[in-house]
Amino acid sequence: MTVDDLGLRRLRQVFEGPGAVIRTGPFNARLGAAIGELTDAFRTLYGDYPVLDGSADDEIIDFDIRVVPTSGVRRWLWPRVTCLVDGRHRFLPLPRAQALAMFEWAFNWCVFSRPNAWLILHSGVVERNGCALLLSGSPGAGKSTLAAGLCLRGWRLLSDEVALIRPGTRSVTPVPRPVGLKEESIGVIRAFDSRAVIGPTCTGTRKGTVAHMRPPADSVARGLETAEVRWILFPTWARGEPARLTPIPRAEALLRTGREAFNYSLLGESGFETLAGIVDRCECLALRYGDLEQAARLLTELADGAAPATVRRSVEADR
Amino acid sequence: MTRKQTSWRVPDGAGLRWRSWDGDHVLYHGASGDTHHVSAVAAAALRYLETQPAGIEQLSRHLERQLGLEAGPEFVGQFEQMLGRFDELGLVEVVS
Repeated sequence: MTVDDLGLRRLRQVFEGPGAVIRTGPFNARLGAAIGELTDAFRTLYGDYPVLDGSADDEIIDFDIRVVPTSGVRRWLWPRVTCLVDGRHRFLPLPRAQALAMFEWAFNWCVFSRPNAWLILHSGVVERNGCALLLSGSPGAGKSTLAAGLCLRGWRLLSDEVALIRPGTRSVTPVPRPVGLKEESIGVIRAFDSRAVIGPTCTGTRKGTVAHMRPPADSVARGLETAEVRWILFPTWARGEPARLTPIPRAEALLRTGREAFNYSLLGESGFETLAGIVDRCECLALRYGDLEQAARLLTELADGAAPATVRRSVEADR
Repeated sequence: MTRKQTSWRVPDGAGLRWRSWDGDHVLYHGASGDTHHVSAVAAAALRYLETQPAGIEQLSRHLERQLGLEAGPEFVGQFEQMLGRFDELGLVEVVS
């Protein structure tokens, strides 16, 4: 059963009551909010997610996230919301109009900060023909916009924010979630494809105006299907420029990807060996693009024309 | 001990791990958790000091052989600076 299958009335009872337990990739999350408009947004963005019963004794709930209105008399003048993660306050309250943004950030925080069984890179990941493309680079480089665009052109979304990689492998575990869009990228995706389902827009957040795109149903359904990294891509949005791919040195790719990782240092040698092993076997590319359609076409051609992954090992890998 | 007599080595437990691609060298330093991008000269020197302690003259001779360098007085000065930087980072230590 999916969130959509529940129907709005039942969803309200669950989401605004004990919480709805959904599965995303390897995680079970109990999500709830005593805020009506958030239920609608949740349904828009999470409609394809499988809903679990949540009552079975052997079911592990990895995260419990609940957005609730703040108490006190000020709530009548300045309605604010706060977020409880596993029953504890983890974030400062925000205006009620930003409840969805808070909910998504809390969910991200849970995914980023818990599972040290993976090397966690701050990268989007999409897949085509069984090969995964890591979208790496610093915040604001256009990773999520590109991930959204590629999903709308037939690529599978594994994540727009985080690559979970099993140490010692190139295998990415999916965590498909709504794709976070900021500022002008919201309009870019709306204009790019009318099929894009975009949830409510939150303005004035610490990241500016944000909105989220519902992930493709197929990506959610294949949430347990891993993919091996074949390319590491560093995209840069460059207004007016034609889409262009250029190789970048592997050493640079390793250092830049490691800088944006969440737990690379924490994993120590295992983190280095995992990342170096990925760089050994991947093409490392920079993409400058000013036209999303052109960029999507270029990357799709790359994926469709790719020979089976060649193994290029560094000198030390054989020692 | 004069400067000429000083010897360096990579400390026990430094936990150095290497990757080299197309003449680019990346070094993971297990003791600090840091990852460094190092030059070919630095990589050759550190790899040598992983195998045995050495002073400037011995290192210079090794690099001349290994990399085909001509280690004049200017090079030796730069090389001492580089070793000093490695010392700050904990990548080498002076052998007493």
